[in-house]
Amino acid sequence: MPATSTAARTFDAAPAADPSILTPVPEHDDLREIVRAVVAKADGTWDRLMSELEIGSLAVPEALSGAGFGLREVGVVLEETGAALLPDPVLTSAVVAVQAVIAADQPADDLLEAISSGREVATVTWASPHDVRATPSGDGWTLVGTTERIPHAETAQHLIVPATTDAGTALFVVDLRHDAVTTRTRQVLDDTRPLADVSIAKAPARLLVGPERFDDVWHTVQTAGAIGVAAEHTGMATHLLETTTAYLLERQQFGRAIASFQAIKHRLADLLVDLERARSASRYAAAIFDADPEAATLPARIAAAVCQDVVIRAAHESVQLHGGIGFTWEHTAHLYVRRALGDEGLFGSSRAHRAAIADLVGL
Amino acid sequence: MPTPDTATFIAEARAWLAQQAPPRQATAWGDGDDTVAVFENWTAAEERAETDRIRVYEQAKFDAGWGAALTWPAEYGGRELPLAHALAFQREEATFDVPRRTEMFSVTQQLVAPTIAQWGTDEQKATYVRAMLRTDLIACQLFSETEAGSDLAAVRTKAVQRDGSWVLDGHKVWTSGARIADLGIAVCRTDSTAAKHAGLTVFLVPMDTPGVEVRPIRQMTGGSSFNEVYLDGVVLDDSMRLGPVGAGWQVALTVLAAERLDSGNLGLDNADRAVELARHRGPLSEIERDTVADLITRSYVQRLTGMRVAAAVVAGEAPGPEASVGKLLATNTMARTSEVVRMLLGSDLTVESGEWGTWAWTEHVLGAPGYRIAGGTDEIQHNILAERVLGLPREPRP
Ligand SMILES: Cc1cc2nc3c(=O)[nH]c(=O)nc-3n(C[C@H](O)[C@H](O)[C@H](O)COP(=O)(O)OP(=O)(O)OC[C@H]3O[C@@H](n4cnc5c(N)ncnc54)[C@H](O)[C@@H]3O)c2cc1C
Repeated sequence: MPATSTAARTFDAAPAADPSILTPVPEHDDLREIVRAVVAKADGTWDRLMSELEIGSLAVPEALSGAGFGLREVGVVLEETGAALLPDPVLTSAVVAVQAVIAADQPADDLLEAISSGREVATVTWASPHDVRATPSGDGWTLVGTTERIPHAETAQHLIVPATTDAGTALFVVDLRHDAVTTRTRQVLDDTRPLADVSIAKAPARLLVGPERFDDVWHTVQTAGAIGVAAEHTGMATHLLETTTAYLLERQQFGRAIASFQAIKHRLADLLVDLERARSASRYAAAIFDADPEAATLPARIAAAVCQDVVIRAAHESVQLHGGIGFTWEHTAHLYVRRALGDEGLFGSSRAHRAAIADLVGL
Repeated sequence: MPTPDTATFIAEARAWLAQQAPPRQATAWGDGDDTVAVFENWTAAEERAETDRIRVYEQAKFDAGWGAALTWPAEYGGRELPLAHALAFQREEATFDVPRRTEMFSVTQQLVAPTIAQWGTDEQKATYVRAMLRTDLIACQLFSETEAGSDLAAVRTKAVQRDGSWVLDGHKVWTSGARIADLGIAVCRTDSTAAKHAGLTVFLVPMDTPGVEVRPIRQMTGGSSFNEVYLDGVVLDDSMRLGPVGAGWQVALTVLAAERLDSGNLGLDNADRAVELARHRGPLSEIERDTVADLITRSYVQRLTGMRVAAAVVAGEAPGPEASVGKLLATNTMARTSEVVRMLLGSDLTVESGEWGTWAWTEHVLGAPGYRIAGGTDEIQHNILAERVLGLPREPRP
């Protein structure tokens, strides 16, 4: 056995930050209340989130005319929009696309303004297969290729996609309304996150991030995306525990509330433990990202692994603990199962995340 | 004394620690102590010697101003520093090879001392709190009985008043550390006519009082870290009563709540050690890597949850449900650690080979189940979460 030190290596597999990074922020509770109220309304949600609450600017630095907050605040929003399974492109456009655009080599103020305000929608291939090639043409670039399973591609105006150039991979933005771009809707398990394939036959594109910075930026965008998904899952698990608990307190069988049976109490307690794990993991990853995105690689994977497991379990427990009604189309429980399964397919299973964790800690 | 800024504080802490012990990473894998015991398998003499060895360090730490009293008022020998400083010290301390505190140290410093500070008379506070924070006195918990475990309020050990004193008669079981403790904190029934929870009173019992007899109980690990304690006509002055007569349940709950909070960090060192074992037993199959990565994830999140609790407390807020899940996270980490170790070692775990860091794990694998029972079983923790956090109907109470 090689003689290596214990502490130097295990250190990497333990959180590096001081607990103060998790200090509760009272303003987050206020933000949560406001978002919750908006999301609870049946319509106009997207417009109100984007233009009244300006959530697209939350994690944009002040130097770029944003609010100068970070993923912690965005995470609060995503917990609520996730809890409601909001079908709008909050995660894709207002969070992930915005993170890509603020990292552009040259300021892309027009694009940033359009998508952070919600006037236009952008989508990103951040977790989807893609095979796109870019060639210079005149002042700009031309893109040819395909990319699959892109969230909200049917309704978005912009697609942010990596493409190979002679100098290496770079990040581009292409206008989905261009004649040379066609989209094909995919049939999906989770209709609250619509997906489409995109084919690009010689469409003009704008360079966002050149090959020199691509790897770093793309990694940061993917990290932000993973943290965003984890926040949504945390919100979903919160909602599932709250609603399932409320139902079991109300529903009576054998002459008493079902929630008074110990077998049921313990299962709800297990969901609470899981939920607290999800909260710890997703909120820490967001806080680390805000302090130093590079340091968030491992925390983001941990959050992804934990939250994906938790949301799958919570969704299935919710179906089971509702009994027959939980198995109906009418009931919302299956929508959470569908979202949880859809996300597992799209963003990776907890097993895949754990394989990445093993790599990151050098196992 | 003014509050030092964190950087100065950490630098001073590090300088002091460096005089006490070498850094932990100085010991290479395969060298030094390979113990991963959850409960120590010590003889009475070893238990005494080891406790004294740790105590020497704790006392030196206390006298140098770094001890358990860091956040306590000056009257208890404290520096009245914010909790953030205490946590910063703990983080620094963890990087040095200082003696590992056994559970009796946390029982004394984190469970019993604060309970006496909360419930004690001025005289009791003056006599015991500083002495326990400095571990001049070690305390044990005389709570459980054969007929009163999870249902602690069913205790039958009696305390009756006679000639201005109290006389205790009864039988306590599963008392950790009773062989080395100076003082026991005993839950007794003082009124058998009152309702179950109302008839209890807590006493501080010097373990050398005539009538106190300690008999070690052998555990499934083979060792004896807990004992039965007979209280046979033990006469105590009223000054040894902790809290009002009839308030024993509230006093006991103070101890139990501290115990639940204190258990959040259990199991982490051994989880780290199991991960380290995986690095040295490779190459790992995909299934093995997944299982080890799962353990990493769990111990990571257990730490994060502890950090959330600490952050809330430092900010002066009551921590939320995250504070109540800590013990279940800890017992889960311990169980997963066992799983990883069994997977990696195979029969090297169960057949002694003389190889460093293999057979030693039997003490983890056989000890870990104990923490699912001690300090409120996993099932009772679930009841507490369900009832106190989720607000579900309470269990029937006859
Ligand atoms: C290593 C170790 C150290 C200990 N140290 C101390 C000590 O220092 N001082 C001290 O006073 N005690 C100590 N204990 C005792 C410990 O607190 C008790 O063992 C524990 O509270 C359980 O009580 P019991 O053993 O009577 O089990 P029981 O209460 O009889 O429980 C048996 C089983 O039934 C389950 N059960 C009981 N009630 C319920 C319920 N309402 N709902 C669901 N399930 C239930 C339990 O979870 C358990 O699985 C120690 C125990 C161990 C194992």
